Amino acid sequence: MEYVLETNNLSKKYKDSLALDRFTMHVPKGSVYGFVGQNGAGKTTLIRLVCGLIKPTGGEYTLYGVHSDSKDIAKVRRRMGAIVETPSFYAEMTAKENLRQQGLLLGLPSFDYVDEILKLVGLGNAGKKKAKNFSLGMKQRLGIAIALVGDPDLLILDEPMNGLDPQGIVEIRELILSLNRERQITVIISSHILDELARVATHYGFIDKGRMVKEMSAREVEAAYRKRTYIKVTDTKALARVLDDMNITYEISSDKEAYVFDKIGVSQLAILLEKEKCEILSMQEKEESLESFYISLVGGGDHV
Amino acid sequence: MFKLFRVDFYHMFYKKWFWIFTAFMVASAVGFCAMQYTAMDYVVALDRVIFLPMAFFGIAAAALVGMVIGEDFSDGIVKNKMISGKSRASVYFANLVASTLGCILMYLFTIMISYGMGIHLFENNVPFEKLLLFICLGFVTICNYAAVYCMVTMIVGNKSLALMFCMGIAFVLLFLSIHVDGMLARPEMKDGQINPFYVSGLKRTIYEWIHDINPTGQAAQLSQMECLFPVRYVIAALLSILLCSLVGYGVFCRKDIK
Repeated sequence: MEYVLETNNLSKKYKDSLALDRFTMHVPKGSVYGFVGQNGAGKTTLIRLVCGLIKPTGGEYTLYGVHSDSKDIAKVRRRMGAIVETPSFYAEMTAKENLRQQGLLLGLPSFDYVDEILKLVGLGNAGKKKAKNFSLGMKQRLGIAIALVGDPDLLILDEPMNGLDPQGIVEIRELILSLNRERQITVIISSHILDELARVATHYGFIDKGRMVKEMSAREVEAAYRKRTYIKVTDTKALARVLDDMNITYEISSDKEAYVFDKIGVSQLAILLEKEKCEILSMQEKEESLESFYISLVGGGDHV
Repeated sequence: MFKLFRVDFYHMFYKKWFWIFTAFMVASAVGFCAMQYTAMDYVVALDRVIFLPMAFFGIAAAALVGMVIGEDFSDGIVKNKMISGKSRASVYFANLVASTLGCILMYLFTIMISYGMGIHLFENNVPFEKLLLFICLGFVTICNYAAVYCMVTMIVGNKSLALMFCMGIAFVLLFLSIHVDGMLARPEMKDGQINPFYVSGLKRTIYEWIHDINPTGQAAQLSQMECLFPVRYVIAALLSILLCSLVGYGVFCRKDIK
């Protein structure tokens, strides 16, 4: 598999705290890489390192095969666009002027791209409104538009859904999907809004306390979800005996409630329970969310 | 770096700050001319007036550089430049050049107004060569100011803090200049006797260098159109520019950009 970004034992230490601890990740080309972690887990630190805003205290990374210590690392960054924490733009300028400035910065020969990009991000009608007067969603889209100037292959978005209203979240999600599918842009999104991330990501990296807990494809994550069935019965002791005989994994949560983690034949279970004089009161199949999967990965405790 | 400089320079004029501080300097030039013309009961010589607004230049330059570069940090523009693949060296020096040119234009507007009004209102005692020399010394001083404030802003990296530090340093330089000027102005002889407080020898040389390295000390010499050692003036300014640029760039290279 071809990777656009790889990190190897990357570490970043601030005065007292270790923000990244021998962090290793692999971002496949063409993927939407969901970078999952709670606040302070080290997501933004990694993004800032890759963007060259801070320097690592240990380890290394490669961007498009160019080593982080190489002189060419700044050049290769021209192939990427990023929004780190908050979108960056000239607040006094209009959306068009901002895109022209970015074009000048990158040394683009013409401004033909301006209208196309503004239309793509849904700012075609922003007109002469100054960026400082934009709504939060418009600012986020302007940030993405600026990141898209120069036709990048890699887009890094740090918490792009933060603070957006439901409509704004849907618009940004659709934009990310269209950029990935229609323009083949690899996208790295850091977020802790996991339900939204689950709708766009093709790959995941789970980070906790500065360390990569696990990297998985979306399919692997879905397969790893533990499907469970909630059962309410009159006698959980009888249920336990039956499930033990059937060699099925389960968890008793009260004297009448239990969770079953393997697939079960409902009719067979009902017949066997009837023999034990136990009645099924209710039954419901539940699916684990990405959120609960993440918590099960990093361990509950101090996590949301 | 040229692309970056072009963006920074465009940005300098796009923002209101350049025009506000230039207007302030032009107003101070007009004000000084008016004051000298109306308050004195004798004909004032032109050399007392042309560079008088330079006394305020340190404050205006501090505000301009602190606001413009500081806003680049606050709006995330510096961050954006680096994400776009620009090196820290080019980001630093493009800002330095743009700030210097902005200050030079502010200086030229001020001097043109001051000279334009002064030549009609006051006795023209300034030969062309002297005028040219002091205009050139003014350029050197402006570069010195820009290097100092650019260093401070690039190190601080936050608009409010940068403005606070630049203004603070502007006043420190002003007070240092007043103090050193006072020390150097002490007469050698007083009431026919050697003045015990006269600063002489190595101590005087050190004070003179401090006065020349300090951009406000240079501005003080400009405002009086008196410069005893123009070569040292230029060398001291070049040393200051070099030192500030090296320190500023060195710290900026190691700085975590927020």
